[in-house]
Amino acid sequence: MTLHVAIIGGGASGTLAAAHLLRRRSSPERLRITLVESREDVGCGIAYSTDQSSHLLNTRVHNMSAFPEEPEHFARWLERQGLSSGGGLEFVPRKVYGRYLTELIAAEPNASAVPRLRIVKQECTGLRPHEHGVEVALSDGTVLPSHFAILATGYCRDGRHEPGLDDPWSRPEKHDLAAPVVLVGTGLTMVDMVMSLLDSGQSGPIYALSRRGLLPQPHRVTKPLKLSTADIPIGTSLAYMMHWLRSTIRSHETAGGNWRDIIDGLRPHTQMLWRHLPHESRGRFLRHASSLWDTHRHRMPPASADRIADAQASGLLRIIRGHFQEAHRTAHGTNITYRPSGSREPLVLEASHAIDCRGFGRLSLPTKNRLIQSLLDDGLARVDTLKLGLDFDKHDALVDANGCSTARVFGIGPITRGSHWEITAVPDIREQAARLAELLLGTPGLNESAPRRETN
Amino acid sequence: MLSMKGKYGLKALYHLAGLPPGVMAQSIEISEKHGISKKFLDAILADLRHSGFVQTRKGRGGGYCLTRSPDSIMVGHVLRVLDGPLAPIHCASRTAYHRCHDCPDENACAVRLTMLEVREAIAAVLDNKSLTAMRQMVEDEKADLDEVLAAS
Repeated sequence: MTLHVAIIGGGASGTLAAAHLLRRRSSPERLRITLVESREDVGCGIAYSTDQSSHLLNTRVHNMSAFPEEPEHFARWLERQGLSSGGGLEFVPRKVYGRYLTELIAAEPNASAVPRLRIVKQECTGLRPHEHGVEVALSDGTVLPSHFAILATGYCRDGRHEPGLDDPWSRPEKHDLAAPVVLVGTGLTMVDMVMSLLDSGQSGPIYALSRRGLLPQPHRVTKPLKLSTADIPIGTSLAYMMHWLRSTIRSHETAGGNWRDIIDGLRPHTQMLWRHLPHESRGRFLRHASSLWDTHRHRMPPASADRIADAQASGLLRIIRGHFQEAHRTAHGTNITYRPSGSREPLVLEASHAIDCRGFGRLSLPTKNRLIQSLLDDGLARVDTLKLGLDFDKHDALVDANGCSTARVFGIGPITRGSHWEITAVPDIREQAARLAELLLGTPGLNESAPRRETN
Repeated sequence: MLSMKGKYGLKALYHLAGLPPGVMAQSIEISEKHGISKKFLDAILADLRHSGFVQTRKGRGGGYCLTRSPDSIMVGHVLRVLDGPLAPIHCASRTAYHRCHDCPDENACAVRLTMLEVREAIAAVLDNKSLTAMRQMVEDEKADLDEVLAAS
């Protein structure tokens, strides 16, 4: 019998899910995948659809293979394209990675019979799970019957954003290069926007505004400490955990090491850490520690760090510590009101335009994302306690409004952020894709009402 | 190996996990019931408070209680705090690492490599055993014993 899997969303997460499913089951008559994506370029998503060469991957080539068991996969693909190589230690443009992902699912070696993967250029508007499968409703009114559906809808963007601020991922309009620009947020998106502005010849000042003015740390070559779960005090409060982290880093640096070795050593365990973190500590982490964690965990390539440092030294880029309050458009541009840190009096920055670089926060409900809202309205899904995404169980099965796991609908990537927190980078998502492929294709018979599960 | 501190800490948490919601226990009550010196127990409870497993309230009706549901506190969580990294031998831990004095090459040490595996197995058991499960084990034992007694 043929297993039908519908993947909703053709960004990096959905593409990795498809690639892992295709890789596991080689016999063409046993598997059919339908990838539902309304955008033109499947594989890219918001992460890799940038066309600018200065927007680099923030992870080295040797950590970016789509398949964890084959770490050289991406490096070898780069070599075949004649684009290599720095021995896997280099940072390549993100648009190159987008092409890699696209080709992962485009290339079907045995295109003999019906292709195992087909892409449907539609929007998914709803899901109807039943005992033996799930019906996937599409925007043109058709219904796609399948055995399983995988939600790969990313951050549930719904087209809304802060009034007065530009979306960083829409094509920028031409502006006066001598006029000031404000970037709200000082993370990796800010770095990308500074790269674009420098490339376009910006000569007016660039103001980057955030609460603490923390920039991403630059990458260095590290020797990650091989931490085991047995070493890490999981399940303790955030305060205890941070104290442990600081003292571990301190003693490692006293012994001549670098803090990056500890952060990178923790990396394979971050999802487990989050799972064991008490609920109250998770909220506290988001409020107080996440920006510090992000700047150390999500670092920028040295080439970008150098350009940022040069722009700061020349006075072109100025980092402002303050609370963003509001933006409104005027006849000449955009005025940004903010309250400088440690002051009560708000100040106003006049700029030609301002770009929202704060990344992805919590869901704002009701959402204009039709699929997500319909799942919530139908009681098929619920929002996780921190409102980061939807609620999924430990096997990444969707949890419904009554707290029961749905046996037919799964999630991958940022939509599962509430259960994993660190699920935005390819090294994390590819592991999730591998687990999901094993779970779905391990199903012994399709007449069974639920996929096979491990029992712990 | 499990230290006295770890053992008594688990007994104290086991006790707190059996309290009805909203009820607190004083340390003297725990120390008498489980035969632990009160001074030692107070030091252990301070560590458990510091790491976010128990909380205290002063005054009448005050005492200690768990900060969260006992099914979300795992034995492994507690032992890492009271006894340090789960490691059957010092050179099997990265953070509480001590080299053995008599070891010429730890990377080729058969004992160490074996103990690294043991460490993962210990974590797998202890990180899946909650305080609720501990209480359930005791209940099950009692039920079995009653059954045997009833049959005889």
